[in-house]
Amino acid sequence: MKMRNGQRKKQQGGTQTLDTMRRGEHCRILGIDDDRARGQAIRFGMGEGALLSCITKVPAGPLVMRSGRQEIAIGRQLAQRIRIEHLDPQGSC
Amino acid sequence: MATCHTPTPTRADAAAPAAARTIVLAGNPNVGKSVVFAALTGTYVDVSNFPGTTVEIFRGRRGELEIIDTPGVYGVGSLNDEEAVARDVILTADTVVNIVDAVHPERDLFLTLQLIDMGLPMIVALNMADEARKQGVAIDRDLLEDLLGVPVVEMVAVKGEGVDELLARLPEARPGHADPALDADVLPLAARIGSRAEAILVLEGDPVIAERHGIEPHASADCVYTARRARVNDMVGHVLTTTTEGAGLGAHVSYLMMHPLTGLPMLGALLWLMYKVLGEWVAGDVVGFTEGTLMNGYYEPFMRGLVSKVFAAGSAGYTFLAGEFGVVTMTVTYLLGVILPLVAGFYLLMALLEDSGYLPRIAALADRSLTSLGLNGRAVIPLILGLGCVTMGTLTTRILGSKRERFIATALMAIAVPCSAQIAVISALMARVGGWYALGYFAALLAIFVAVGTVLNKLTPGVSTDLLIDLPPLRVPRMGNVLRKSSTKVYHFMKEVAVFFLAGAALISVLDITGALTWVQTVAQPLTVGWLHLPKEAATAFVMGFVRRDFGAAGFFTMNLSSAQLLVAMVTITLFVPCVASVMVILKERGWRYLAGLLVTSVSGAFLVGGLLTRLLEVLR
Ligand SMILES: Nc1nc2c(ncn2[C@@H]2O[C@H](COP(=O)(O)OP(=O)(O)O)[C@@H](O)[C@H]2O)c(=O)[nH]1
Ligand SMILES: [Mg+2]
Repeated sequence: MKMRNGQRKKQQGGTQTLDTMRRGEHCRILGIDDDRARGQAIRFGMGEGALLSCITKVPAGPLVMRSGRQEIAIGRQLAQRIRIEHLDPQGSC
Repeated sequence: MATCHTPTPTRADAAAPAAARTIVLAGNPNVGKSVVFAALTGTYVDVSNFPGTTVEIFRGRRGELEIIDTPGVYGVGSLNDEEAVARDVILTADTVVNIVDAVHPERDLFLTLQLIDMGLPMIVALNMADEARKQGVAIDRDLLEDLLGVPVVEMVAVKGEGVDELLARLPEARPGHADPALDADVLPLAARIGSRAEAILVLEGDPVIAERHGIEPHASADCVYTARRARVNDMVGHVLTTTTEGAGLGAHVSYLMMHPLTGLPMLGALLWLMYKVLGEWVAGDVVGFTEGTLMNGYYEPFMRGLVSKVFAAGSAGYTFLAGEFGVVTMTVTYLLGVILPLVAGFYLLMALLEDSGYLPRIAALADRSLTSLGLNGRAVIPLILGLGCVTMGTLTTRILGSKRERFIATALMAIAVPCSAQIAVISALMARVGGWYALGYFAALLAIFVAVGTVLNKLTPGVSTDLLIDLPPLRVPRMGNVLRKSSTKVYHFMKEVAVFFLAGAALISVLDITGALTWVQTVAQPLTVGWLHLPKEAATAFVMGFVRRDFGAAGFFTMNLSSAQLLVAMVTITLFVPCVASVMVILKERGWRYLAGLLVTSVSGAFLVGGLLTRLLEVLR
């Protein structure tokens, strides 16, 4: 259903970006390609290596991610610059 | 990421300084710093649930101690204004009281460890202990104290629990167990610049601090941050036990608020409610009383009487002080009779929204639409405030992440957002002509809002920042907080703008006395009559609209316009220049070039749209 997101260039090694997450899915952050956001995300506890779950995906809008009891809204464009690894059984379609 | 949790004291646990003088409260946003500040100082300042609504610093005293509240930050550095402000205050601290949200230790301890690495004498206040219990989160306080190497006090700030213990243990504040892995780099640097705290910041690549010492910032921020994050996670693993996974009703409501299908109707209902309360009740009944009965009925005649004892009625001095735009009559009436009730109503509602945690969720919901206007979801705050008073909204653009966003948001408000005083008059006028025209008015404004935003997004140089905000838990607002918070904001707002209102009124009076006003009215007539097909008196309303937006609209009351003419007049006057007070604030915040550009655009845009609308409506008949 979210195939249109798949058109975005898939990064090497099966890496995907945060915007491919769907509600209820889990992922691990591999890297954030945005200097400003990286510092902020590490402070929040959402830096490299953090485990997140997607609790809301506003259509074409931000993703709301949860790590622990912490909820963070991440703009869609920024999400495209966050590399992740899907952690669900059949994470990549 | 090789750090272990074994507490290796890196410095002798020297006895804390006997009389700590400057106590700085530091912590993440929404952890209760302001409540603790109030509990300590007795004055209450600002409670906010939206990350970054205050960049101001608040100071208070308790006996010998000076206590400073800082903006909430997730770390100290130069990432944004709040961080820079917090950093500079923290660097002046004799003792740091680090407030930690017991529900979110994995987030909050990052700042804690940074402060400890900076070697600052500190004490940790583990706040929200009640909330933590409710959510099944338990923190081993004694172990945390051992691991950090600083005193840890449990608190429920809103109930005043733990305040006495915090005060009692304040003298025990000391530097904690810093990451020994940092020493190799930090110690030489600290010796060189004379401050361990600043050495850490330089090591983390803070360009401002590095420049202060005339050295290059180090490029090891990522490395230091990653190691610190690992230490936090490790520490949390040891001290934290959770019994329930806290995702109940709140999580569901939160989801509904942010999903467009349910969130938009909720937002619509909220705006309608705000309109009912502010646009109808406050702007109508309350202002009717404060402005009409109190100010016009008692205050102004009294002042005119006083002034006429010194200046003859009709003289320049009389006109200046007590004439139509008099500095001691109309200005004061407007400030106290109109602006004060509206702004108070607005800040009260905003405080309710902030304290409940709804506001950041509106930001998430609106983010998508706002990105196409070059803004991100955060801009809902100034935009909603702009509906109250454009001046208020313009001041709040300070919270936006980039100059580009401030540029766009200010222009949008000045051009296409009617203020509540104006909405009130406009709805009264529109009530006469029926629903379709009223709908047409709001539709036209919305279209213009989107059009202006889209164009500005294309034309404005630079890049806008992306939404990245923390969503605080949904809470039932506490009336005490809401009242104290909004009253402080109202006070600061009134203090900040009063002088602009005065200056603006003085300016208009001068124009009036010198005859420039009549001249403008005559010159504008071809435009109003020829182009907009309005009666020639419309010019007066436009000039009045510059003084007070609602005056402008009210000027059309007596003109006997057709429904179509009324719609044209309302749209044009809304787009037309913002009132003189917001013009002054825009000048202060954005500079004169910006202001000049804005004025030219909004005046020409207003008449262009008005004329086109006139013709469209004439064709439609
Ligand atoms: N349940 C609970 N709520 C608290 C406590 N302390 C503060 N709050 C609430 O947390 C919110 C944020 O507090 P505030 O002092 O504005 O945080 P600041 O941003 O750190 O200054 C407010 O709604 C407070 O009522 C506490 O100990 N327990
Ligand atoms: Mg505060």
